[in-house]
Amino acid sequence: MRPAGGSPLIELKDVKVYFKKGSIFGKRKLIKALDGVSMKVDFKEKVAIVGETGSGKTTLGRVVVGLQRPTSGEVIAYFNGHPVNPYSLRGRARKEYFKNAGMVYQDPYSAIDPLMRVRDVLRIPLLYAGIKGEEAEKRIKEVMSRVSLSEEYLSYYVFQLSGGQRQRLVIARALLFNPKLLVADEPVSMLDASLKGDILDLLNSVNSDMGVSVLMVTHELAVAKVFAQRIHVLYLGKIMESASSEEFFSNPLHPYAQLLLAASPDLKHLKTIPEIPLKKVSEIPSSANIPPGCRFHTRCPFAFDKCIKEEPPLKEVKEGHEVACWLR
Amino acid sequence: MMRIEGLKVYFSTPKGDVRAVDDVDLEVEKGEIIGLVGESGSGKSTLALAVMRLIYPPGRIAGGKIIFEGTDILSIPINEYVRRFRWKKIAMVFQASMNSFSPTFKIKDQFFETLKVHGYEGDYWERTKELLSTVNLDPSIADKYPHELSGGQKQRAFIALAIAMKPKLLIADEPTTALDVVTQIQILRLFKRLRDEEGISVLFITHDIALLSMITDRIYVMYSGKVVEGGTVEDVIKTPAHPYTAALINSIPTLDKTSVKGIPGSLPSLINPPKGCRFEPRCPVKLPVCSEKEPEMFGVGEKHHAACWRLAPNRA
Repeated sequence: MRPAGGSPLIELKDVKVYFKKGSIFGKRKLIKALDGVSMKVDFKEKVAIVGETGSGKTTLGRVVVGLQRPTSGEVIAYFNGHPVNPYSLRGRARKEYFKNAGMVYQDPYSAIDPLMRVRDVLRIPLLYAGIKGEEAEKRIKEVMSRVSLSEEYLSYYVFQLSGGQRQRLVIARALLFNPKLLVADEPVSMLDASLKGDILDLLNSVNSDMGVSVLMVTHELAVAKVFAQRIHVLYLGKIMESASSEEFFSNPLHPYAQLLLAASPDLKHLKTIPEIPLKKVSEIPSSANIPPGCRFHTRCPFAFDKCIKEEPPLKEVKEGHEVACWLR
Repeated sequence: MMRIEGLKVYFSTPKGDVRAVDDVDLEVEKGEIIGLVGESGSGKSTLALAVMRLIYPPGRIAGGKIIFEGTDILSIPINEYVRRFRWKKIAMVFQASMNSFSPTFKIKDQFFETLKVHGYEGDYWERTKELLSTVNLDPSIADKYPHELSGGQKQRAFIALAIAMKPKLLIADEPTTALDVVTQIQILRLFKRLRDEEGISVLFITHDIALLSMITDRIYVMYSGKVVEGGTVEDVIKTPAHPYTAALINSIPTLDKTSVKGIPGSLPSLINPPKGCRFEPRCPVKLPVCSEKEPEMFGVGEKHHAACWRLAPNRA
């Protein structure tokens, strides 16, 4: 698809995920969480998916780690070198295959049972995979040192750890099976400012030292900027813009991307609230009721007739920079 | 308008008192938007609850005064506080305000109840419509149930409810944390408009110093139950005097940065805080005196002060 970059690790082709929402009154609704997403993550690449609540970014992360079967479309993974559609594998084989993808959750307070001991948090997943005894102990010590948690914490209960330490433990657990890919779903949004940098540094070193690709899902463009090499902007289940980090932040083309950038908190706006390019007071529509034409036209200050009637395709405007907008 | 002097709020636990707010001074003038920034556990929400007199056992006010328009609101009986101050002079928007509405009543019924309880004299329905349009909501949403509104709409509706009795001071505790960035900007603009048009002072509490820089006049930085720095937004953001403030500014990801630096270590225990400066264990520029004696507030400039031994005047 894209000539630049390394070899792909996982590719999504026109992936759709629809949920049926039943109601005892009236019609059943179809929620289009992902509505035709194509993207890829290369070996050792750091990619960020940016979007608001309801954009489908978490669903996308779940598809990539094997927790959500797409309604249609294709997922091709190259975890072992050759292309495999992991969702075509059955039962055990699929589980085994997705050990190559680890998940880091948003809230370190609910992602691990506070009443478990740290050692058990790491030991039990290994036990399920049939790894025990010395081999298990070796792996546990490896991942603990990888995330800079000292071994004395192994005998602690999870509730005795601070928020930052818990997030380190969540990352350690995700690294247990030497994954090729980590999906980090808002890994720093629940953390205090002083810890965000630490956790981003840790994910960076996991990427550079272990060669693990990271797909980060976030609503904060600033986090994406300091972390990722490639940015995809997701809106109501579709990619609106996709570019390398430098290109995206120096030349954002989609009105939605420009809106998000203008609205991001920044230290340079002293005492001024920046103007944001947005059509009146409007919020993200429901994914059960996606506007026709360009799905952003209801909020876009530049929308014209064509935007209401026809959906713009994602097209390459420059090498490696794709935008779905009729203005480009 | 409001002056907090030496406020102490302690929570008793079997292990000893947790000093959530420990000797804090703070001032809010009329028509000012004041920012209070700190990480979780710094005591910023506890301070807000103390002003609302919502500290319940095991918590207690262990000392200090809160003087609001000449009255020490901590020394008057709670009934009098509720009658004269709560919601009428001082109102609060909570962090999860959007979940503060009862799901089983229509928005308008919840407005009517608030107006009734606080003794509003006038037409409830007119006032509700007026309030909703002040926060840019269509009055027709009054007939809806909370679950029919989006997060941003509920937050606006709650702000409308908070200003129902025309308070002089609005305390906003992390009012935008659960909202998207676009909605967040709109809510910020709303607070600014309330100040400009209605003359309401705002005490804006958040962990996001970048957010504060956009809307506040002055900023207080709290760390581990103490105010460590205070000053105008320009002074604090551009020339932070306390090492913690500087580290905090460096650690948040913003668009003008390409990398961020965390602050190593974690918050000290609030039961047995360090003897000297509370930031000393994590401080990159500590002095020998820092672990011995707690620093007092030193002036750095006009209206700019910080509690750091490096600023002591006799230290050359």
